[in-house]
Amino acid sequence: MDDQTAITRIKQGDLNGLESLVERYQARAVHAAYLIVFDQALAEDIAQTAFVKVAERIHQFDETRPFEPWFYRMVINDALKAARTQKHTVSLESDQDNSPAAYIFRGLSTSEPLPELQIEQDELRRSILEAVHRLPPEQRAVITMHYFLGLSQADMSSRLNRPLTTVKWWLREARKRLRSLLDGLR
Amino acid sequence: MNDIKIQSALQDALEAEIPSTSVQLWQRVKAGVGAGTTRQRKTMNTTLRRITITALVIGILLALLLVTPQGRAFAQRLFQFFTTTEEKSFPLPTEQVMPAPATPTAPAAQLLRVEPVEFAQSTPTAVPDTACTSPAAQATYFCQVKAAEAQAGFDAKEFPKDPKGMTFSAVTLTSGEIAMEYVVKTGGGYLHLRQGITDFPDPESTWGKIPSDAVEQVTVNGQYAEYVSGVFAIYPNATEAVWEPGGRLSLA
Repeated sequence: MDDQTAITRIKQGDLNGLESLVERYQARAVHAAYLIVFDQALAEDIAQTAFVKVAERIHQFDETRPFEPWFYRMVINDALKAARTQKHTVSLESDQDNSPAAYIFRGLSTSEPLPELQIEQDELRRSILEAVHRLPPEQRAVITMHYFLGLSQADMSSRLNRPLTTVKWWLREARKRLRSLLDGLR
Repeated sequence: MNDIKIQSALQDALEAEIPSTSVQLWQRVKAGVGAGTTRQRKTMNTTLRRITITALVIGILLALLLVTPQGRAFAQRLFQFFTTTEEKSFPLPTEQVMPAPATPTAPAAQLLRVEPVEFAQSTPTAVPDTACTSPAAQATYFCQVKAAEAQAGFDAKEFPKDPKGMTFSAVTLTSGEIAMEYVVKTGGGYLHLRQGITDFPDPESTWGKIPSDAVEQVTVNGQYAEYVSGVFAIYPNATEAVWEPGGRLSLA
């Protein structure tokens, strides 16, 4: 079922249309929200709420336009709101020690030795998420929209209700900080 | 690291952190849609109730404000110009206590009789050099007022002529407050015309406060104003300044 059909069905009160959209966009919505709030449970709540809003506001949706931008606008805005109210604390306790030494130790202690390339890739993944996490919420949002959702700067400006110059500045700062953080982590 | 690598690394990292297959939201969304209508109605009811209660509280407050004497008094206080105090005296710092003279004499301070301000029919204050370039010109009334206004940032009200029997002395500027001083030609008295656009007189200063019962409500050119006649006086050897009605006119 394509987006158009799914939306028509939702407007007719058929929840199968919504289920189709949930199946298609849920993972990406959770990932996008996670990149901003860095809390999986909260990211899932935000994505769930966005889908409920789709059902509630589907009559406001202009069917001549694509569904994705309209939907992700709700996800990003809610995630940004949540991130702004989040406490800026970093837990000292973790289920798992993610230090490089502990990572290598875990690799050594398992029966299957981790190839060097695998360790490097995992290290890079962890580093990039850490780097994004250190950015302010607005810069995390532009990183998410630009790198993860592939939106243009004009789209981001419209979605965040901010002037294009502001978005450009946020993105430039975020990109600069991200590169600097990643260089520092390596 | 270029943009494409960042993009790819981000997607890989997210997939590793939260595998797409582990995200299963449909049951939660379905339950949320079922509860959504109820929640929306409840939210609207709550909002409506809050607006009603707020309107009711504002109504009651307005009624109290306008009907009861206390309320009217409170409403008047909202438009107060002077900073008032319930005290009629306040202790003086040691350095401000004036020692009594060795030989008792009549009190040096005299309370002036308040008279209506009359204006002399003489020529207006001269305005010789409006550019205020020469030192002589800078000492004139016109140039001093102009300089004070420029620094204070507002256009000060001025007497059209020197008050009768007085002559212009100086303009001073303190904390954004302009004071024009006139002295009695024969000596023994002065008149200060003080003006400000912020908190005025200075509410933080003990000397700027006025006993609340000394304030009279008057109108000036149809505008609400407050009128106070009195001064906190210091007598020889006194360790506190005491409010003396009369002796000074203040009009805010």
